[in-house]
Amino acid sequence: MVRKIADLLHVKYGEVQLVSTLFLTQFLMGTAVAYFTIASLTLFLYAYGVNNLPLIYLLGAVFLTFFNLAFVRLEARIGSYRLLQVILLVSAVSVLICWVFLKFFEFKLFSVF
Amino acid sequence: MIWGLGLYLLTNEAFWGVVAIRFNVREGKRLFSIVGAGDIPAKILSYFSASILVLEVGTINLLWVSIIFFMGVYLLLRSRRHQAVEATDDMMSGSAASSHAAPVHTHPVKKVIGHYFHNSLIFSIALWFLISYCVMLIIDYTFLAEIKVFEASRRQLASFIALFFGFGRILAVLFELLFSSRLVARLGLTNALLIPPVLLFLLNIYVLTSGEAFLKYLYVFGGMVLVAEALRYTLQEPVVLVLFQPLDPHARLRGHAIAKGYTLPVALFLVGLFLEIYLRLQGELFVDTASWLILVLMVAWAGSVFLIRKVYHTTLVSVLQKGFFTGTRLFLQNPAVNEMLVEKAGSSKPQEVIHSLNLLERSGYNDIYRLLLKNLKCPRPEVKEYVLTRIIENNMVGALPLVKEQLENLTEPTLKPLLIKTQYFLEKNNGGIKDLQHLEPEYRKEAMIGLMLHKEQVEPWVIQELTRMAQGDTSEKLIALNIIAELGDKAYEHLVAALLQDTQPKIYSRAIEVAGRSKYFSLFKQVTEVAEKTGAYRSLHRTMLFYGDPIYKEEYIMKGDLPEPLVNLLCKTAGMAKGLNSTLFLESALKRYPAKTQQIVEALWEKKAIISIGSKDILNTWVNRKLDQSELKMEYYLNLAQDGAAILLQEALYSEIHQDIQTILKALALYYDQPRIERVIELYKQGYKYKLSNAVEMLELLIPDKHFKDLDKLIEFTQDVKHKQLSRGPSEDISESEIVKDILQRNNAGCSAWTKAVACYLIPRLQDIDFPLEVLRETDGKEDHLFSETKNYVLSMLS
Repeated sequence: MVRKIADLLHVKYGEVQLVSTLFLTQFLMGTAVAYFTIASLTLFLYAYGVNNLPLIYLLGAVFLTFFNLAFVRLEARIGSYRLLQVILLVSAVSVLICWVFLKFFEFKLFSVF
Repeated sequence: MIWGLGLYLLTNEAFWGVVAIRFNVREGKRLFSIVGAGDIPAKILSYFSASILVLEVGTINLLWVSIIFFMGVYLLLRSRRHQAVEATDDMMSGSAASSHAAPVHTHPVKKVIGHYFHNSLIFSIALWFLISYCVMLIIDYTFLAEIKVFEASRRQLASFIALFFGFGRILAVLFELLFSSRLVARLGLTNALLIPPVLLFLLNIYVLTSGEAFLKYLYVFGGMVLVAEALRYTLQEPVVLVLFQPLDPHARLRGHAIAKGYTLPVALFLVGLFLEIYLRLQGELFVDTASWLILVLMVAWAGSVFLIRKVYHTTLVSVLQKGFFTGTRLFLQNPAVNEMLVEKAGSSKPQEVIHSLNLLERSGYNDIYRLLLKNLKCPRPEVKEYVLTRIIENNMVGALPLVKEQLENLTEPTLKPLLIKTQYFLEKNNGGIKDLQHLEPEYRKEAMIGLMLHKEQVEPWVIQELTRMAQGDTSEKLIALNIIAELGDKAYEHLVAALLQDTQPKIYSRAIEVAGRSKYFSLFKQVTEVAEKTGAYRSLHRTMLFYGDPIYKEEYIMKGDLPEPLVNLLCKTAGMAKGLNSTLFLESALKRYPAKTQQIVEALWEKKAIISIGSKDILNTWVNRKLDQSELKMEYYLNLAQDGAAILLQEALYSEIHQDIQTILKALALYYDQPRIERVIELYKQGYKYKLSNAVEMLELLIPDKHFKDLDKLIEFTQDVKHKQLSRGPSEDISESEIVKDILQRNNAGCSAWTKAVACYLIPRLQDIDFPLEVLRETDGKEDHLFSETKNYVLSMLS
């Protein structure tokens, strides 16, 4: 069965395990990011409205530049595979912190971040 | 919200970073869309489930799902730390040595691109991403501004957003299933990038040309968001990431970081700044303003695709190019250089001395004779030999005493013949025949050559002596032929003609060779007749190499059907000859001897010939047939794969396919881009997977689709066999007996004599499954010796 699906998708025999791992990774990661996006976008739009979105873009530009610089340095130091693991762990912890703040400290400005 | 953008960027970049260095360009084309497709069901499930879940648990608690999934993928990667890690690390460490240094740019614009973007391909793709992000952000903003008008509560808003994006993903799945890979295959990588701007452009034109209505805007912009989302994940990102694959892994990672990581913040900044200023001035973003803005960006977006196409092509060419060592220009007239060369002429290394003497002589150095004579006393035989050849060449009569001295105090016996030749050359021997008689035959030959090197001034007695030797015993005849061969003088053609008629194989074989070496064109007909009559084809082969291109003139090549061994020889040597005559001969042979096409292709390729349109048509037909035959061989192989005992036949078929690919590429090189296809052939022979994938990618740009697809299939097949990754089954079932019968009787696959012999060898094993033995008795009379032997063996075994 697996062989037939692999043939259908032009995945070679030796690639099946790797491709399936990567597919599953993308699936799980996509779900996690999607839930976070829905929650954050809703919270922001509800709290500040769409007219403040450009400010988020500007702030986002600054923050993302820093994130990206850190990403490139870390990638050079620890390699892309380990970096992916680190990012996933940091993401899980950061989302947990977000939840704690939003749940227990009715802090409106937090939805910006 | 900001961290949401950060999460999207970082996870995406890290994931594709891992994927990018694991696959090469060909694998990327096949697998990126599959790997990337994991995101689509994820988003469909998340958006639809979130729209329901949010009503039950609230917006904030949705974050728990995110936490669980992040932890889930983290644990998955920890538990499956297998090939991905190892291969990635290997590739990175391997590439560190092989990666190219950053190119040095001199043009100011190129300098900036080189500094910040590493190369032009990364720059052009980054530009494409920047425009793409700007378009997405403006469309997203316009759409969100429209839906915010009619939202009710926070939960309803969350539910609407989730549902909307959920539909977007369904659209993406449909697109992925119905169009994605086919469109990329049909349009090609770079052209496929034009689809998003064109589709969004059309939707935008609709907004601008139709009347105003709130719901229409909501739906059209909603539609644009959906189209943009769907295309981004299924088409744009996989295709763009494949475009990075020809680069070495380090450059690829850098490309990913720049194109995706750095352009998003820039796009956010540009769009954010524009919207902030615009909203402060106007209060809200009007739909027609947004549409015009998007329209302008679309044009720029489409324009960036053309830039990518151009740069991608250049990049492929450059990564496939060989490094050429240009060397240092030597200024021979420079006194400092001369001084250095004189110094080197006294070196203890013979090659250095010879090279210096040669350069000094070529530069017209005044004291060269003195330096040459000085080096005649050098203890190194290589240097002495070189000096003696220069003494003869320059007729340095003054060197005679020194040459005699060397002969008297001979330290290196191997130099004696050359010293004798030089001595006789310089003396012009006035002592007559008596002087020669005391010499041993080997030295006598050298003395004769020395005497006859003066051409017009050769003493009559010397010619008489040569004539006598040509009529003497076997050893004398051979010496005479060797003398003539070395002199290459027209005056002795009649002697060679006479010796061609000699009955002794040693003599006529040598005479055949000497005829070519001395370029006696008028003897060629006689030479071929003798070779044909006596079977001295090896000598004929050698002599034809000496004759070279002029022998292929119409006046020398016989009209009508030539015997097969002679045709083979003519084709083979024509490939080594440089000139138009041999090319014309090969082109005419394409028509006269269609069965020899493979050999002719090899020869034409060998001599890098430029062929006529008529020949191109013939070769085109041949390539098509060859591709069909190779595909049939592949089918045979796949059918035999089910039977381990037929491994020998499989190996023979594989080897033929491997050979066929090279010959087809050689034929294609004759009428497409020769230097680049030659590079592809070179890389194919080397079989290095990473470079081969780039080479095949390059090939796609060089040859027509109809040829490429078949050839690509064959190359993939050979790679699969080589790396033991063969998973494809045969497209139709053919039994082993049928295959053997096909090969032996019809031979539609054009198998060689070796493969036929191997197929024949399988017959005794097939007796159990009712193999028709008459197949062996039905074969025609024109059988190869090898096949014939195998057939007799098999028949004897069976009887």
